[in-house]
Amino acid sequence: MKSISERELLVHRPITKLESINFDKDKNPERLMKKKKRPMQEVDASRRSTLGIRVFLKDMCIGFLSNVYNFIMRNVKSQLAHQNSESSDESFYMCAIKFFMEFNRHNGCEIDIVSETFSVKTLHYIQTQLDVYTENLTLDKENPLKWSKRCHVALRAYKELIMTVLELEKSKDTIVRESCNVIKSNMFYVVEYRELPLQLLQCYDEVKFPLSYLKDLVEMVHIFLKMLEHQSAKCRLLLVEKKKRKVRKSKKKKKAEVEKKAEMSETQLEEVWSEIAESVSSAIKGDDPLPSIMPFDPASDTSIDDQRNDAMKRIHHFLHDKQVPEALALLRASREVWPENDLFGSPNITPEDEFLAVREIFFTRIEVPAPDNAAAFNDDNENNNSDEDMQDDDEDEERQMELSKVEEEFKFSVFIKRFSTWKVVRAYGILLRDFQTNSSFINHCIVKMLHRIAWDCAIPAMLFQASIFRTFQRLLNYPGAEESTKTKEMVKFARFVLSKFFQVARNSDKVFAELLFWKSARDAIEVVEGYGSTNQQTKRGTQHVWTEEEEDELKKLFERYKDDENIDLLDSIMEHLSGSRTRQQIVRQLISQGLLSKEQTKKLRKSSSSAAKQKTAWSAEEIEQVVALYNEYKEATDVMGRILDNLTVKRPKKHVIEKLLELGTVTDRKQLRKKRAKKEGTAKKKSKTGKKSGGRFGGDSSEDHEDDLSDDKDESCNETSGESSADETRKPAKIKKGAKNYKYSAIELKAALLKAVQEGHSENVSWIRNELLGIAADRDGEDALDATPIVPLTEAAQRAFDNKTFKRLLKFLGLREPASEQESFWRCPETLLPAQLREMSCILTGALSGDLDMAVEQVGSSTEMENNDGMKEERKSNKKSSRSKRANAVNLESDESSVKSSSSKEKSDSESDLDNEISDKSKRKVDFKKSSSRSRIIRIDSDSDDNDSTAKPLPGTSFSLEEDTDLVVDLNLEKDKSDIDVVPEGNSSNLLEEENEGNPSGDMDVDDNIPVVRKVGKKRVLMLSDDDADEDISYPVRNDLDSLQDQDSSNSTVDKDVPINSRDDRRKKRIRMLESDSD
Amino acid sequence: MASLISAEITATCGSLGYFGGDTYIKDPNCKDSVRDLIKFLKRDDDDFTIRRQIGETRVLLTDLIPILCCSTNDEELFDYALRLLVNLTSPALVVFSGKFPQEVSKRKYYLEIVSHLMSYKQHAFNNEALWAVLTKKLQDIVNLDWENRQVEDSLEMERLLILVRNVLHIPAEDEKRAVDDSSIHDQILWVLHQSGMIDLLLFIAGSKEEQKYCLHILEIITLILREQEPEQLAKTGATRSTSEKEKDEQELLEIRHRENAEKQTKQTMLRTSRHILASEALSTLRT
Repeated sequence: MKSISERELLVHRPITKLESINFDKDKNPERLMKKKKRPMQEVDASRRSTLGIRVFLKDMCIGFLSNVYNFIMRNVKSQLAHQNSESSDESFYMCAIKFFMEFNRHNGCEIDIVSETFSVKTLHYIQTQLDVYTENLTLDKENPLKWSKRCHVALRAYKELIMTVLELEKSKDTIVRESCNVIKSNMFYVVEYRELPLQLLQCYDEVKFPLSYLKDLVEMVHIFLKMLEHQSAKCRLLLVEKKKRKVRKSKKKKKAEVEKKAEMSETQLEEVWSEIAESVSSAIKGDDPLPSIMPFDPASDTSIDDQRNDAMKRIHHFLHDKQVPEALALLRASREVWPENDLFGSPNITPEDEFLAVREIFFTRIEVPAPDNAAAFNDDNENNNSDEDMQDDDEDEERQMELSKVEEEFKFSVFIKRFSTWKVVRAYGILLRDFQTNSSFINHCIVKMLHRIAWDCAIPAMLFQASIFRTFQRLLNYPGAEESTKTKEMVKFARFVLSKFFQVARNSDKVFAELLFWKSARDAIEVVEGYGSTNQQTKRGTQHVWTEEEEDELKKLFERYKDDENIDLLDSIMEHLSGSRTRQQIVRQLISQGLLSKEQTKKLRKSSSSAAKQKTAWSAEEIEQVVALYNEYKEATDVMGRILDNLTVKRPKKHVIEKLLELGTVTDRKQLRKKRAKKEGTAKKKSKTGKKSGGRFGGDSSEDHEDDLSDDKDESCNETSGESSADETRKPAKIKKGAKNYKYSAIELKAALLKAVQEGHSENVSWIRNELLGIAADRDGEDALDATPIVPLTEAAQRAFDNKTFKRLLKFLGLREPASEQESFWRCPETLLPAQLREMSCILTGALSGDLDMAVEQVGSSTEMENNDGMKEERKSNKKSSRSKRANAVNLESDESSVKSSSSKEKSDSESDLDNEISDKSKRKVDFKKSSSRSRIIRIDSDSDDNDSTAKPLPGTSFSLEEDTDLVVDLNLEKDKSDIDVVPEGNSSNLLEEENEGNPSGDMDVDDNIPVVRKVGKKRVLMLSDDDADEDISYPVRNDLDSLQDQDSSNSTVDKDVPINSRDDRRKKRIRMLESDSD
Repeated sequence: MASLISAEITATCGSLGYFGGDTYIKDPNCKDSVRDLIKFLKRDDDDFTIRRQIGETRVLLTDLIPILCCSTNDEELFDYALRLLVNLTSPALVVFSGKFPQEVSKRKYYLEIVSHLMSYKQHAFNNEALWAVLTKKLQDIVNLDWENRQVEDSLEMERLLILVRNVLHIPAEDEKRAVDDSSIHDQILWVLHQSGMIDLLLFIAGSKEEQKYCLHILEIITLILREQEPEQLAKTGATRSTSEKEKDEQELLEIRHRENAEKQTKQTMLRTSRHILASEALSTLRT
């Protein structure tokens, strides 16, 4: 056959039709992936220009850098920060950072000319921008290109910053090295910075990012890890910040320990003392050199007063541990820091007196053992702080999710383990494909990372992946692969992985199938070790997993018992189930199997609680016994303990308490709490405190029975940071309250009334009047036993309760504001007689109708009488509180000082100011205020073992510390003084805010007193999952209002620690906020 | 409709005047025509018919640039022409309000506008005389004290800066130039450098009075350095360093080695066992 060009045409198969000749038969068009799955196209514009152009551009760059770079960058930065410039301007800024810093790095690397962008601030800026971009990438699906581009620019700037740090580390100038260290330690210390490389690797997606991005990222990660590894190897101890999520469980154990410690008998103490007495006296004389110990940590977030207490405890602990020199040194150092009141002895104390002081410290009982390292210190602080709820014995089972920042020792190996995820391996696998065209540095980065995963973490099975093996195949077939510097180590590594693979393949034939799937670290270990091997290691995992047999068993049991009305379903299932499960687990499993619906579970709970009640029904004899026991032991230190020990039928503590309350033998739980060692005359106290919680809800008892179903029970709100001084401030606050309740004169009342009416509360005033009249009518017949709550029914009334003026009025009327965590309403005290109530309502009527003066005069005499009553009451409460204070406050404080320390808030403020001054005097230059208010604190540990424990100021690192850098660098290593337990201030108010959002009326009610700081984009909201959310849903509005009311009242009085209604608090704790940065 | 618009625009452009070799001979209606063009652009439709039409007529190259060059004395005309120029050179993405169009027809228009922009960059702005005039203008404004500076002056300064930015922002043409050849972007940079514009920009960047323009300046600077590798740039000496030479040679050698190796493997793959036997037999025979 002829072709068109008159030549012969070769045909391999017979042709029947002319049309069937097809020259395109062998051409297979390359199949394109779907557009959505196609990897991002590369846009690389860089090219080499003509020499002339380059020379003049270089001149321009040098001129720009040396003359205007810092100036213009500062301007641009401030414009970016202040005015709402276009968002694309940020990328120009970062572009410039990247270009000029790199240029500078290759052109002599002078730090001064780029100092503007070589700082922690810039690091922070880029980091936050990166966060925003990656977030937007997932949120804004419309134009991923835009965000990925910006991501890339930011990443390159970040990488350049790291590269510059790396370069400048080699510098001979110590100041330059120092500033490098600052940036570096920041990078490694702060969680967000440290997690950034991992986070970026995790969110890499080849559809969204071009390959060049991955290259930059891989290089950046490589350098970062190298620096981190180096740093952690160089320093013995690298402290890093860590966000910790704590689950606190029962405190029983801790308590038991504490008791033991506290009950160390006198004789034992004497023995120990006689042992150490001699060394004490010799130490005082100055025979042995004393070690220097720092009693005060300016960087710590605990307040100065708390630190004082801690110092005392540490002295005590040292003594008990027979470390006399340390104790003495600490005592003397503390004396310098806190000279006021001669708390630690006067400055010119005689040796004899000092000896006596030491002895006194030794013999005082301090419940909480002092810690010996930072971690324990922290823990104990908390322990100490939560004294209040330790007393609440009914909270046996408490679980609390808490997010806080703590410092931990950094372990590189642990950190690197986190990189062993399939996403990371996958990203590296993608880059590995182009090993021929990659630069040798990138190839090195890839191999190093994969080597870390396969060798350092010992999980080679993570790389058992078909796509990676295909690359290896190409690599090994690649001519000259072994000789080329680019691929030499890669070949070695590929051989290693393959050998591992075949080793595994000998034992398990399933490994070939595993090739097709990306594996998590755990899966990978299982591939090698055999399936199920990791499960055995971690019991937790198996605990929650139901096997098929168990599921079947559960189903059968459910079928058997579900129609039986008489017995409790869950109990019977629990009894007959072979494995041990909690009720909650069973309920969950039943729901997930579809055997139960949510509504049914609710019913179940109710029925079960009623069943539990039946089960715990008290017989008459038992009741008698309990009452008898109570009467016998009510003067004892540990009332409940004694009663429980002597009961014939053992019951849980909380049931006994419930019963006692129910019977009316006891009016308040507090009576049943353990009394402190020094507390005497508890009986007197009882009669007074008894009044307070007369109005406890009866509903509590049924709720408590449900403990096993619902996770968290009543908790006092005093868990957070503010609580540290709770012990001290609570009591004085009560005095104040007592005083305010009754100290009013006719004039004041008048003024308050007038103001209230002027502000438009007349409606509410009349409502209050009616309420009072109603109460008076109720009390007419018999003597009032309890304070009567005044429940606001309308929304207007509710709002009025949040109003300051109205609250003032209520106080002047002699009503009591919600006192403890159990109360949420204002109450009419039982002391008010019906006649007085009537008079008050008379005044109110007068005020409403206008002729106030007359009404006030009318009742002026009776108010005076009340005044006297009030004074009496006040005096009593004063006595009481001072007594309890003596028990609570750290011992050794003289009466005078304890009064001082627990006086009003302003006072303590001025005290802390004083302390500040003193600390300044003693040449601690690190700004205390700053350091305590900022949550970010860097700690670089130095290699030297200098015992000089004062914090050194940083030698003039002009680059990063100039202009209010928000970081305080504490250069010295002090193991046992650092406890960083940061809950940013204002957090609680933020929480409140957050909660109010869903509630329109709540929004309106937010008082001005609540500081609301909103920073969009700098805050992350973290929702903690809650299993029993449906429990609260039935009355959210009520709760919110209550909490608001409480919050308000706590704001208006001096007392800041008035506990908020416990249930509301629980709700609030579910929403935790972390501010990613503190400025 | 389109033809009407086309006719109108052509008429307007025709009444601007004509370029007579070294001076521009202005039509009496020149000023009004420029203003008309600005007005037209303001009332452009969604398909940017007028913008594309004006691009098609190449009025920017034939008339507007000469007008700018020759009307340094006529402040008003210069102002109008500059405004029109800034408008016409604004990036395509800005014209399409920041979004790359998804529709096919729109995308075609987008590409059309981009191609116009490229031609402007290549032909119109690669003109040293123009940049000299613009630099002179900018310099005059910068030299003014803040007391004497009117609002119009600052506006004009900003317009000039934006014009520089727009020109630099225009994407490079898909030109397959060798590495060391100068691209159009490079040529523009060279012209800017020659006219002293870059020095002036650096001066503005460093002066305290002009702080509000720092974002523009930074943008221009980054655009200037768009195609450059900082490392490469930093290491640019007057001559190529020996190390650089060695590196290049090393690279070349490696590629050569690889090529040889590849060739060899290919041969071994092609040769069947029979051939190998034969060749082996031959070699043994030879020995």
